[in-house]
Formats: sequence, C-alpha cells, structure tokens
Amino acid sequence: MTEVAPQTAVPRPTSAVARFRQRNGWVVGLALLLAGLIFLRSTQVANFGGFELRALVAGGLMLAFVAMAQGVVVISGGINLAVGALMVLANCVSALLMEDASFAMSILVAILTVIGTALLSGLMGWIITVSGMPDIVVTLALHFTFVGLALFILGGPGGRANPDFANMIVGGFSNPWPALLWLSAVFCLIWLPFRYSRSGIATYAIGSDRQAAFLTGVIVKRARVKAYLISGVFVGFAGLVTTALLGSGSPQGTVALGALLSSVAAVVLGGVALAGGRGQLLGPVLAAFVLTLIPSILLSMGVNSNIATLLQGLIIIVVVMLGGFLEMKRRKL
Amino acid sequence: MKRSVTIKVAVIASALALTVAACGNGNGGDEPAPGGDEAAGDEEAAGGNYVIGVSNTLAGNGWREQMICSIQAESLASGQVSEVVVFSENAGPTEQVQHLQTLISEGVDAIVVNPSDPEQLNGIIEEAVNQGIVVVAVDAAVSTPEAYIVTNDQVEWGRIGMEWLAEEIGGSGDVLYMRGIEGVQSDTDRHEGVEAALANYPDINLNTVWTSWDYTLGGEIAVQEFSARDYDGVWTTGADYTVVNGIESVGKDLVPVTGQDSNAFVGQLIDGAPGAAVTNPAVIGAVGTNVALKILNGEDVEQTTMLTPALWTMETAAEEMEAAFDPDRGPDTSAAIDIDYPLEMTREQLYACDGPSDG
Repeated sequence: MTEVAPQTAVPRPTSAVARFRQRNGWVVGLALLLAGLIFLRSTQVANFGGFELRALVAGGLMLAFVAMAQGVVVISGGINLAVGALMVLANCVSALLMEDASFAMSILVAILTVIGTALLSGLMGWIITVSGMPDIVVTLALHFTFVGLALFILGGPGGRANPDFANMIVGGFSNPWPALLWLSAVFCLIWLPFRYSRSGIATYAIGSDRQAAFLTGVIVKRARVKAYLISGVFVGFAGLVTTALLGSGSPQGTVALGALLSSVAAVVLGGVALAGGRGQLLGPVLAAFVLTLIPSILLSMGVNSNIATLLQGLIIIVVVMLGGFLEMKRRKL
Repeated sequence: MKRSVTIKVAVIASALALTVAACGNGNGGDEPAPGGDEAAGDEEAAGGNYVIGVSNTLAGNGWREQMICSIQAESLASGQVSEVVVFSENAGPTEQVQHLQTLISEGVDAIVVNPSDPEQLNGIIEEAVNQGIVVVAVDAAVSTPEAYIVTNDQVEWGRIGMEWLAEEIGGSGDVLYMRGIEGVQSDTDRHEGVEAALANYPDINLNTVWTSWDYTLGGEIAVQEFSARDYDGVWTTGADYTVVNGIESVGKDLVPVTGQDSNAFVGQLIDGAPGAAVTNPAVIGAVGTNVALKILNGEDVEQTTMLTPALWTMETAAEEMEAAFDPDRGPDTSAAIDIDYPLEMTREQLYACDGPSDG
C-alpha cells in the first residue's frame, strides 16, 4: 500500500497470491503455531483427549471474545480499556438474573445481556465521538464505573447459572464442541457479515486514515460508534461464557484488569496493528488460545511458575518482533 | 521471491514450536517428569510418590509466597511426596479453573488451592474429586462439600483484635478501622467478628478506610488520617507495620495498633510500640498439605480444619514473639510458624523453601 513508485508510473497490480499473503500471512503463521502447541501439549499428557481440548477451548473462549471486542476497536483506530470491566458487568448481571431462572428465561437473559452490553459500549463510543475526549480517557474512566456498577449490583460473589444453559455454552468436562461451535457461530454469523458490509469496510477505512475516509464519504463518527457497538456484542458473549463456565458472578476489579491486559496481548500477538486499519480478527482469536495454552505447557515442562510468567511475556515479544522483521523485509522487496 | 516469505513465516513459526518442544525434552532429563518417571526416580530420593498440585492467584505477596514455601517444605519433610507442581500467577477465577484443569491433566494426587472465589471453582473441584483427586482449599473456603477446607478462623481473628483494642483504650474513643478489599470473603468475616466485639462497647466510633491489603497504601492512609486528626487506636488488616511507621512519620505519639503477625510488626511490638498482633499463619499451606496426605493415606479427616488465632502482646506472649521475630526475614512475612497444629517441617526447611524435587 505504502510502496511509492520511483517514477510517475501506475503501480503494478498485486497478484492474488501476494494479496492473500499480505492479508493472511500472520494468521496462517499463528494457526501453525497454535497447531504446533496443541501437538506439543498432546505429547505431554498421557491420555490427551476431550478433557484437555475442552479445557483449552472453553477456558480460552472468554479471552477469545474479549480479544475480538478489543480487536474491532483497535482496527477502527481506537482502544477500548473498558472491555474487561464490561465483561465483568455482563457476568454479574447475567448470573444475578439467571439465579432460579428456567432454561427459557436464561436464554432471554442471555439475549438481553448481549443487547445491554452492546448498547452500553455503543453509548461509550457515542460519548467519545461527541465529547471529543480521547478514547483512552473515556474508556479508562468507564472501566472503573463498570466495575463499581458490578459491585453495586451483585454486592459480592454470587448469582448462579442455569445448569442447562451452562451446558449449552461450554459443555461437559470432556466435550469441547459446544464452545467451539459458539465461537464459530459468533465469528461467522456476526463478525464476517459485519466485516464485509459497508460498515465493516468503513471500520477499516477510519482505522487506516480517518481524514481520507472522511474525504471518501465515510461518516467517521457513525463508523466509530458502530465499532464500539459490535465490540459490546462480543463483550456480552464473553460475560455469558464466564457465567456459564464458572456458574456464578464475581465483581472483582482484578478480573476486569486481567481480561483487559490479556485482550491487548492477544490483539498484538494476533497481528492487528495497534495503529489501526490492518489485521484480521481471526488473529486475536487464535492468539487467545495460544496465550491460554502456554501456561499449561510450561507447567508440564516443570518450569517454575514465576519464570513461566516471564517466559510468556518474552514469547509475545519474540513473536511480534519476528512479525515486524518479516514485514520490514517485505517492504524492501 | 515474495512467496518464499510466506514459507519463511511458516517455517519460523513451526521452528519456534519445536524449540519450545526441545526445551521440554531437555528438562525432562533433569528432574522427574510427572507421570511416567515418578516411580523410578523417587523411591530412593523421597520415599513417597504422591504428586501435589498447588494453585495460587496472588503472586509476589510475602504472605502467599510463604504459604507456598510451607507446602513445599511440608511435602519434603513428610517423605511421601515426589513432586510439588506449583501454579502461581496473578489471575482471576477463569484462569484458576484453567490452572486446576491443567493440574488434573498432570495427574496429581492432591491439589492444595487458595481459592480466588468461594463459588466459581466448585464445578472444576467436583470434577477433580470425580477423577479421584483430593482437593484441599486453604486460607479461604469454597462452598462445595467435595473439598476439604483448611482456614484460619477469620471471624475470631477480627473479634479478638477489636476486643483487645476496645479494652486497651478504655471502652470508648475514636478508632481508625482499616479494612481490606470490599466483597472478599475473609474481609467480610473479619468485619463480622469486629461487629460482634463492638456490641459490648457502644461508645467506640469507627472511621472505616480500605487498604486493599496493600502495605504501602495502608501506610499512606495512616499518614493522611493522623495528619488530619487524632485517633485513640487503630485496627488494621494487612497494613500493620506501615501504619505504625506512618503515625511516627507524622510526629504523633503512637496509639495502640492491632494487626497480624507480620515480621516487622512483631519486631515493632518487641521494641515497645503499643499494640497487639493476632496470628494469621501463612503455614496454613503446610496444614493443608498435611491434611491432604492424611486423606491420601486413608485416614479420616474432618471436612473443615479451622485454626484459632492467638493474640500476642508483650505482656502476655513476649516469649512467643521473641521466638517468632527474625530480623533477617522480610517485613511482610508471617512470623507465626510454630502453630497449634503438629507439622513435620522445621523452620529451616520453611526458610529454605525447597520442595521434594529441588536440590
């Protein structure tokens, strides 16, 4: 894109292969890394099977959704520091409402939760565009607000998930399929249609260059709010997954903070440019599972868990530097 | 030429995976890997071959680190454990479920867990018990009946400290009431004890502040509060010695302070600061290990083991305090090591912090 031709000639059109590589190279590499890590894990555990796969898929599902929520906003050229807190809020509210609720009622609660987080997140985007305050300030402030709200609503650890509902989302202990199915469903039925709609293209456009997008007729403010709206949808799913996986709500600020930091790590590792406008959302999803898998693998190797945390950070840095290095080489060609 | 870059990405990614794999194999030779090598490697080394898993979600905290060391030391001293697998990183319940699942996959015989939530780990704990693993929750309780619980009695902890303080200041006056983190079980329990104690002392006024169990923050709050006004006494949880320092740095006379058995605070009391330490032993981890081993050996153990806290003042417990205080240890380590529960490990083993697979 940024290749400047030395003379005033029309740039050569890039071949389909080059375009595919440019767009998906990182994701393919990450998928291979994940496959390698899963293979490695399978050699570490004597009877590798459904239990371990379910631990990985269901355990990483919350992070995958939070990473998607962060990813959309980053692609639109912003940052959302409230994803973790909003996830905690969704967890607490849904757990509170599902206590003593029937299966049908729980489904209704789930739908309302997703709509609620989408509206809250959209409202957050609206405040950012209308007030003109930096997104980092608004979302940080609302991070504390949402955690406080969750604590206010639930008071302390409490609430309950409907068992059938929990089973539907994350499955039994040796059944990885429901979690995988939900992830695929949300990705294919919500993200992909959005991605290829006018709104999705506008999201990439404003992330790439807000001025240029404006000049080509994109309504920048509306596109930004939409990015936050769709981010809220993913956050809602993340909260529901937490409720289903853990069976109750926990209004802890540290949980929100942990999810936020992991979401940024997953976005970076997933190859989404923090400057915005570039990257596939599949990257953060795969990265979420890589991040979930690494602690287990290091533990099984007998690595001291204090050192393991350090190694985890190093792995992210090495992988991202590797990506940057390859990108640099590509541009020189 | 461009296509080769794609291949390079793939090659390097898989190379990275393989390097990580190679590290794993290298490590496997050095120390007994869980599972297969267990029986072969450890008969002469430790005599036992139980594997104990540990899960902790507050890393870098002096008290928690000591708790983990006590699990290592008790495992070593028991002679029945071949390996202790420790999962300790700052995390919430979602990650802790993940950690417990990994420990189950590791094939551990028992799990000693400091739970990050009283409800949210129930599912995975029940699954672990299903697979024949003994689960002991230490420091805080979980609500599932499948787990064994080993805790310090936090209600009593709150009560006896406040009762002593109320007596000490003559039954009336202003008390700075420094609580921990809102909504966390042990804080709620301690508050319950404090309220029970205060039922007999209606003339005591509390001013509540929150320290997040952060020693630095607790000290800062003490400086602010004592700069602004006077108090007759301070009741603290997880902020004791920095509060004493804070009062001194403002230049006011020390008032009675209650706290826990953190090493520096015990030292301050020995040096003449007015106050009392209520024990909250970090070796609760060793007690949990001891309980787990008893169950593994088929002994009958009560589902809940609760240690009763002791109140230390220079008038009543000078001997214990001088024995417990160790100027060479970190300020926020728990000084109460010789507790009212028979443990195998020695003080030296706890300080060394070596487990069965170390050294």
